[in-house]
Amino acid sequence: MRVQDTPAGVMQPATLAEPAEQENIEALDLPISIPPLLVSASGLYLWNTSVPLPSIASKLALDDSGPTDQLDIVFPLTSERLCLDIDGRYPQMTASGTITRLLSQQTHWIAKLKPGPNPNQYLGSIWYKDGNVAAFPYTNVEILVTTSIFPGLRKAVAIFTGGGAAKRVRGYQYESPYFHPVQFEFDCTADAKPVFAIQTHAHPNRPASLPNETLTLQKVYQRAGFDVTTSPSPSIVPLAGAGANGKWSDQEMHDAMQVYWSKFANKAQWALWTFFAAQHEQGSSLGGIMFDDIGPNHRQGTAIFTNSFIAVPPPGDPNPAAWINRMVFWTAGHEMGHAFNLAHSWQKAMGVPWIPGLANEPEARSFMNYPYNVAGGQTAFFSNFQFRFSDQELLFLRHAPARYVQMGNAAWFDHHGFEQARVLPEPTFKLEARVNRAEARFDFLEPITLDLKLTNTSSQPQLIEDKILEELEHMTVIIKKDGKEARSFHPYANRCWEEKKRVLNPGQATYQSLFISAGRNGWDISEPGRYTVQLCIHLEAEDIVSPPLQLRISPPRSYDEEYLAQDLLTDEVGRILSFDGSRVLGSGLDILNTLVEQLPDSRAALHAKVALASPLVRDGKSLDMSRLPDGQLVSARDAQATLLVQRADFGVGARLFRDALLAKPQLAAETLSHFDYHYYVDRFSDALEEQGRQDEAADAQSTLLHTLQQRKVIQPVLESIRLRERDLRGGN
Amino acid sequence: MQTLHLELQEGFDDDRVVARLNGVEFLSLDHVTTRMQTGFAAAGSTQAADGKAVLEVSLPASGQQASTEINLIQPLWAGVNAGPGKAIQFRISQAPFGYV
Repeated sequence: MRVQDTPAGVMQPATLAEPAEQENIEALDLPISIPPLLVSASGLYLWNTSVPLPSIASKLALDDSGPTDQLDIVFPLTSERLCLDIDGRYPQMTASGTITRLLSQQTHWIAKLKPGPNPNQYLGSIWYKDGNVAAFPYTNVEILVTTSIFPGLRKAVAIFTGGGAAKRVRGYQYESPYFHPVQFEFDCTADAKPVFAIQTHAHPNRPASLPNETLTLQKVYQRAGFDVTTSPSPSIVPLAGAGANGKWSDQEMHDAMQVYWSKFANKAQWALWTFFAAQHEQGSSLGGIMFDDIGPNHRQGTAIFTNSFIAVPPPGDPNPAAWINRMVFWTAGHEMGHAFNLAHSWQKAMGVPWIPGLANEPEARSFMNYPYNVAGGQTAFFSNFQFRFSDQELLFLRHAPARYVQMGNAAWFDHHGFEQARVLPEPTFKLEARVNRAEARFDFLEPITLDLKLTNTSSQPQLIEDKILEELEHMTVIIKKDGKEARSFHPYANRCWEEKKRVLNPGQATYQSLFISAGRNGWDISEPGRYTVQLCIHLEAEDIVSPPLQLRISPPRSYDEEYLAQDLLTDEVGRILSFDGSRVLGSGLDILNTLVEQLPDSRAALHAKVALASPLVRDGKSLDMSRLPDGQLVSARDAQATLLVQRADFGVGARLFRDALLAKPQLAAETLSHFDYHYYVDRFSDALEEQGRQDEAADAQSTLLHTLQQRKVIQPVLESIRLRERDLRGGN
Repeated sequence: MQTLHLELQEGFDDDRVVARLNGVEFLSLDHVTTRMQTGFAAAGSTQAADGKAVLEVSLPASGQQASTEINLIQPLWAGVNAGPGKAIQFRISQAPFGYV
């Protein structure tokens, strides 16, 4: 079902799929300034290499009409979109664009516009960039619009200037009055009383200027800029799904979503499930919730509870039935807003906003505010509520990078912001992520550890944090599998180091490793296929972005590998590999032992041996909570926990270390990463030395030296290994 | 006797929260974290004799502590929010709070 309404406020004949749903003069009811016969220019425009725009190009000077961007010549597979938001309903006087190169690298920009001196001309400065910003140095944009009552004749030309780059000109063809598509599906339980539409004048407490209309949830989101389609008819979700108590937990709703939502998929998509039920297990104080912060793909499902406080009108309300309808409708619009990653109005500045400096809007007359928390309470709120989102929210919905808004993409409340990358024309540092192998191809199940290198490329010594490459809270790591949306990597732990600076001289580099297969998001890199990995370090004055690193994961070579993957790609195993072993995660350790037994020559087994060996070569501590009664969560003190010393099994650990590190040292250095290989051999040497086996420790260092020498590791590192070996051999 | 409902709302992030009514501890929770979708973190309740009472809430880890006098002549709902610097703020209501 498609209901026609557009953010532009004027019907677009080319997009009228179902004229019967049309309300042709609807736009006239609204407090907007466009006369009916004037066609608005707002909407989505597209450019790609197969869309020539000769008539537009001819209006430009000759020096603007040639190839406009060196990267477009190098990477011809480019597509580009322009979102123009300059008139119609709630205009934000903003243009934004996304440039996609090689189908994966993206650059996103946003500019604030004002009318230029000529008709249909808009000028603006670009204030936000995201993605591959090094390829987009421009700081200003001029937009020339060709309007027409025929959508096919609508065009826009953008001229990008500034940033020390040559002028860049793009012509775009009008595509749609909406900025993004979205599909809604509404399901409900038999005991729920869903509200999908209201009559805006049904309740007497309303703004005097509010048009009298039948307002649907679809229209609300169409006016926010979305091309809304709706699944045909609601399903009735059996009450049995709510368990014995008839109330719904988040997990039960997540399960129901997977069964009853026809569009459900564990991936990012412009689609949303809205579920009406009677009551949440939290009770009648919860009117609705965007319950889906479960699993890797958040924000796909949202719920409204009609047997809750939202169905209790204030005593003496002049039209209680209309009050309830409006409140349920408002709640649905609110919860669906969370699925678009909109925060509450008073939470805008919390967490990681998508742009720095977002202000809270505690008095906003928006779907995202609580009516009963504004000054004057819900009566004051609804007396001035136009059933819309705030300008700040519309800016986000229409112009933020799509991955922050799209359901199932960025995690809930995460980037309701991504900080703008501030890449200088001549960056002070160069950041590289490397895999030190001829082809960046990895075996199935092979854990991936990157070698990171940060080089001072300036002509001056630079002061850096000593652990700059270990402080992942200042680093953004993006992982994108081909055909899927990019995801931000979240490590299992962020370390907090004492602040300590050191000098990095011109040309000097600092190194670190980064295990990126698994983290708090699960196993981000596991399935066979191609991936792109890109890092950004956020420094005080600038952001340093690495070139994209393309990786490939090979398909499984045997049924055994495929079968083992089901057990291996778990949170426990991810943690054991990330933390170099464990003394307590028993089932994960069992799986790694099975891996070593079943696939002893695999690269994955090599990683497993290191993780199994590390805790065995030394005594270690573990927290004994065995006196904790089943099912209770209490503090370690209350559980009378004690620290146990777990004795080393040096023989077993040393054998595993020898197998992993010294039997095939070239292979080990390649799969473990140069940095980690060095680190593990040092750890093993330390353990051997503690056991009084200096000669064996020296031999391990000798193997390390020759291995890294052959792999052309820099001289200072080799020299330090030489010295260590010499010390171990008694200075001879 | 009247019931006091205590609802921990905005601003909690893995906090330990202790609440006392007239000096008697009735709520002690670890790892209290606000769920941003709803602005709700955790709840508890206690009963006390009719009349004036002092509600005291503390966050031991941050050293923050605040108290407010309430008049318990009917069931009351006390919303507790942790503002900037974990400063504790109270909202007292004669009706349950709603969350969406």
